[in-house]
Amino acid sequence: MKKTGNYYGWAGRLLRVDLDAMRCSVSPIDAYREFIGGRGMSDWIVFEESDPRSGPLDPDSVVAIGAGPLVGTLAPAASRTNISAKNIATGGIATSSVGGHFGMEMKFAGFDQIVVRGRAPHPVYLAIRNGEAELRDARALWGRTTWDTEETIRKDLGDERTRVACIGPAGENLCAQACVIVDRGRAAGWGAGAILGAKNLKAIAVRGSQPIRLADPQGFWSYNQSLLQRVERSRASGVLRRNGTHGSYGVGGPDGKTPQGVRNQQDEYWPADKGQNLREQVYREKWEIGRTACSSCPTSCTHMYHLPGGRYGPLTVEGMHTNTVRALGSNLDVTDAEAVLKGQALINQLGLNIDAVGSAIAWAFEAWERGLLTEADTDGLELTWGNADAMLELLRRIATRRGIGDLLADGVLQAARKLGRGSEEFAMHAKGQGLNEQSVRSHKGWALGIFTSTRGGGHLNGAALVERLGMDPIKAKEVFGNDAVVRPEAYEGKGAITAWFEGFKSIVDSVGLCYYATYWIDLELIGLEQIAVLMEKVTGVKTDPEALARTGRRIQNLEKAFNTLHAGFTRKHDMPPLRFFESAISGGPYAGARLDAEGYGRMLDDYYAAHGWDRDTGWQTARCLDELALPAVKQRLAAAGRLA
Amino acid sequence: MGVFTETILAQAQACTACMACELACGFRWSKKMDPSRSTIRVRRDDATGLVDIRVLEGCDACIGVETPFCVAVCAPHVLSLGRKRIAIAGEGR
Repeated sequence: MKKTGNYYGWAGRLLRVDLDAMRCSVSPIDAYREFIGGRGMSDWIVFEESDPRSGPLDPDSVVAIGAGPLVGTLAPAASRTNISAKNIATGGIATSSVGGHFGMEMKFAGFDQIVVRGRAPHPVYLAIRNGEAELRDARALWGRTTWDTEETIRKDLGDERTRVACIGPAGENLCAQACVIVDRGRAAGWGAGAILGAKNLKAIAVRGSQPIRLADPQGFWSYNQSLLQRVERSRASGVLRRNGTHGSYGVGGPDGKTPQGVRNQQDEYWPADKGQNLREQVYREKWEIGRTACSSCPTSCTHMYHLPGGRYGPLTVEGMHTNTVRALGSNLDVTDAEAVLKGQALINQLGLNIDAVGSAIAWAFEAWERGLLTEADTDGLELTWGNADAMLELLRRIATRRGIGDLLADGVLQAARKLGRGSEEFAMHAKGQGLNEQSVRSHKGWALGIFTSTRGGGHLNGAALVERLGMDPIKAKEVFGNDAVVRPEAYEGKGAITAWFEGFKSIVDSVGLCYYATYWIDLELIGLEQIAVLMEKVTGVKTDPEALARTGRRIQNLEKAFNTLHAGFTRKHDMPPLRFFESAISGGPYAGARLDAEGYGRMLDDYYAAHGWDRDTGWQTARCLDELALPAVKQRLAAAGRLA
Repeated sequence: MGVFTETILAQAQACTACMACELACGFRWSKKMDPSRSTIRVRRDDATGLVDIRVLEGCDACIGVETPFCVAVCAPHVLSLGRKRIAIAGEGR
């Protein structure tokens, strides 16, 4: 295939895969570069090319997979691949960033974006190598786990350095919780696995040796060395390197007192006698065999564990992260460390998203507690709190849609709607997206970020992790314009901080960095100023923090408009489930904390004001979209009668 | 006997397989991000987590540079500059 231009940083090419016609084509990326790459570029493609009347599992749905201009360089933790598509659980936008080495290899294979639409006549996988793409028969891979699939494809292509993104049985069975797994243990969630499953696309394999050119090679090297040292010496990075996300922010974290979702988030206090069983130190001392990192990452937050024997061994598995320990541990009252590790392996092998599947299982356990589900519904499985065997069996049944698994595989909200009898009240979701959260009642800005997230719900967009980690108030004021982030209990000032992080994370995802090398965990790490310098030295495009912040807001507004057009979201969809207002944390340092409706409402007002959106509807305004030069977005919202 | 020459030493068991060394080495030769030009190769077995690091023929340990490029970016400090003995042809007969 011919080269489409000379770029610095970008590979310069977009691969389109039409599975109806079983054909691939290549085009330049110039038309999309205003949204940088990765998430921004993918979002624009999905926004432009998706019909609000089509569902995510329809053949004409669009999936865009992108790696930003810093991916494949030595920039700290520039490893991320983004997947954007229409969200199965919410009907709005789905975006997900995944680490590993796939994005780097995709760039070396010659592409910044892969855009897939259509449905293949039978299972296929996409093999990309040095600018060439081929659809290969995957019928023999259908039904196989992600681990088997990756290994088989590497053998099939005869190159052990091939990187694979693939779906497991959950994606094939169109589970709402299905994700795409990269490098065996890294997940791009939010239903993307089911969308690929509906398209009969089992996997994408990438391999290449096409270099990424640098606009200012020497300047990049020198500047990047200083950034690497900054990341290595940061206290927050050090904590993460030692403890992983599990030990840093999760069950039994550094202080042992971090609020956790407990029993379907009925509470956020897990007594020490329970939490101590699942502490990171327990896993480290018993089973850790090493650490592993995504491409170019100096932090290496992922642990490798090996269970030599016991009920689940021999088993070698990457993980676990704080979300796993919460979803399969505290939120189900499960204290069996080995079972949680086995669960970590299963979600990766089956291709399940931990947050979405965790919320569905926790809901089922609570439905059992309330007598709404019985042995007649579960084929004898007892969904009692703490039952690790039931947890593991439900993971298998959901991925294969067996028995009760079929009900849960459509996601927590759909399951609750089917069961009815009041079970919707304890379906923990935001905009239909299953929740697996912590510190919602105690950290108000963190909570706001979870429920305003454009992907539905979750802490990876506007939620300010620094609110939970503690920070210098002077630096906070300098960055956010106020220092409210140092007061978790305060509602004031949090709207602006949440809006700021939404724009910032849009940029981080678009250039291809990992959040853990950035301001998200420490304001001494990489912010917009450092990203601007990196972008200039890598791509040659002159930019500055203000220009990047504006692009971040543009990306955020694209996603917001997608949600308004496709899912009809308004202000009420940015509200948390009632549980977080009605029941307080029962113990620990945040005992008594819960959300206050009036305070949350004020925060939401401030948040809309910070974005320039309408307070009553939550919709975008013409003025805001004019300022951001998004005329196509404005026109579509106006035509739909959804412009404030 | 023989002569000593500088070389890259690796402690593979602590390697996180971030591949920064390959990128840095490729950069040294090409001024691009081009691991195909690297004279150090990292292979990680995803199933076991075991890492194999090979220093290939052509590596000159960045002669003339204070810190070799691969060593400069190795966050877990797996790589270091060391010395190895090279036998001279005919020696020991």
